[in-house]
Amino acid sequence: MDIDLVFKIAATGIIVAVLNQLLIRSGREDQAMMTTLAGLIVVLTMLVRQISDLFVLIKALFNL
Amino acid sequence: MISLCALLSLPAKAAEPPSEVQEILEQSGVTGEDAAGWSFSQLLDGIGDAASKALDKPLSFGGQALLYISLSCVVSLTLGGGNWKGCIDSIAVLGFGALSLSAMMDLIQEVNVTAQQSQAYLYNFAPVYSGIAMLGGQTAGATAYSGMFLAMSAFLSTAIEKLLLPLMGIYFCFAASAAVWGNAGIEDAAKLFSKCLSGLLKTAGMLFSLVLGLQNILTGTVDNAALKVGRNLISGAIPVVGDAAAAALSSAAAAVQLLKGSLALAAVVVLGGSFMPIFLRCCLYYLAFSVAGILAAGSGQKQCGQICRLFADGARLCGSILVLYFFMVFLSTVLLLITGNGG
Amino acid sequence: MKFAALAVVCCVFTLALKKDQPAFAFLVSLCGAACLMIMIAQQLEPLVGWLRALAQYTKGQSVSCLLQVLGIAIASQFASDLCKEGGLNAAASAVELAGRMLALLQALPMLQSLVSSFLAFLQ
Repeated sequence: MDIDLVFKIAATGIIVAVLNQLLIRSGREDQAMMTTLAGLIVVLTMLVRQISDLFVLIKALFNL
Repeated sequence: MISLCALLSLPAKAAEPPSEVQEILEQSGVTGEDAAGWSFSQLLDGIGDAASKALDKPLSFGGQALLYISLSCVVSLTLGGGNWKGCIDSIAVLGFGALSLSAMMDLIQEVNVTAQQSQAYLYNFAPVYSGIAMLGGQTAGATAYSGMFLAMSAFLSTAIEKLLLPLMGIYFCFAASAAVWGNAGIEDAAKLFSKCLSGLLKTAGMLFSLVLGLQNILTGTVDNAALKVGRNLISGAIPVVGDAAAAALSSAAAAVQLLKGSLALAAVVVLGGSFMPIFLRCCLYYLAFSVAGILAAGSGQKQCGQICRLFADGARLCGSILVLYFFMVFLSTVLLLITGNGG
Repeated sequence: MKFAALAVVCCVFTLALKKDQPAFAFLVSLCGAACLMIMIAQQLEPLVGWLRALAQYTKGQSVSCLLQVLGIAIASQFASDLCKEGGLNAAASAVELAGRMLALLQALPMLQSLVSSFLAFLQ
């Protein structure tokens, strides 16, 4: 799960970067920005769950 | 138990004691044959019991201290980054100080209780002794002499109880706060404090041996090789008051030879039994603190190591106080019996 | 081994994305750090459980207090490093300060017990 997540995020990032370049080259910059934002939001949702897991784990471990 | 000792030490003469004393003896329930029958192995068993009772507290404290120090070492290693180091250090020292301080306060309380018991014993002694002296038809000189001795030891014990033990407590508190603040000046002050305390103890011990020397009624002190070795051992091993204790030992050894097989010896042994657990506890605390100090210094926590060193000194001083008390009580008993016997 | 591999993979992806999409690069590194921390915490669980059992054996709460301070330190160090990586130095120092305050607050009961034993004796 952990290393898969990194791969997923990296893959999303690469796809978004490629799409960005394509859209910019073809002149649709606003759509490029929207794609970037969409990719960021998707990745953030994936990540927030992971980080909350991390903090819950630390909390339980050290009994904070 | 102390009252039992007082009762036991009444029949000083090996010959038939006076009638009032006989009554008291019968009340106390320990006969001469019983006491004479206490073999050496029984004594050893008794000492072993006392030792095991004394062991549990210092050992558990030592375990806690070691655990705490190793844990704080691990913590400071993991967060080795300079930002957190000071924070972690002061928190670790705080915890360790709280831990050691509570243990030391308990120790001082116990020493206080033992000291008060022996003080009560000494106070009950004087009227009993003068009564016995009059019964035995003693000369005025011997009475005055022993009276002076008893007054001196009573004074010393009061001084120690009212002055030295609170000072020990203040010393411990001071040492703990010195280490927590980490100010170098305060550490020097704590060391000065401990030097003053040991100086005071030395003075008390010197006064005591002076009194002993003046009143050495045991002419022809037995000075064989074993006694010399014992004296050297005591002077070396018991800190601060070793010389006084060694002087006491030479007087006492001669006395013991006279008292062999009588109730008096049993009384003295019982007295030692009441002191032994606390003294062992002091020694064990000293050991535990030294080991913890080595561990702390080795793992690079200077402040915890400081606390350990200061507290180890304090435990040693407590032990010295106990030794002084014990020898005072021991000697006053022996003195009573000797003069009672010798007439 | 897993740790090292994960770290290297993260680095590679971050560098690849840094010029085009710095936000994504940051997110990749954030994810990598979080995953590493989760793996470390999972490894540490039995050790901390054992320490907690030992702490039951000691009377005071010093050991558990120390463990909590360790946890606070780890969390705040992690957060402040992430902020620094994203270029927000001010936020990083703010997080660090908050962590230190919290740790000292945690140690407050110990200070209280120390002072109360002083006072109890001096009476």
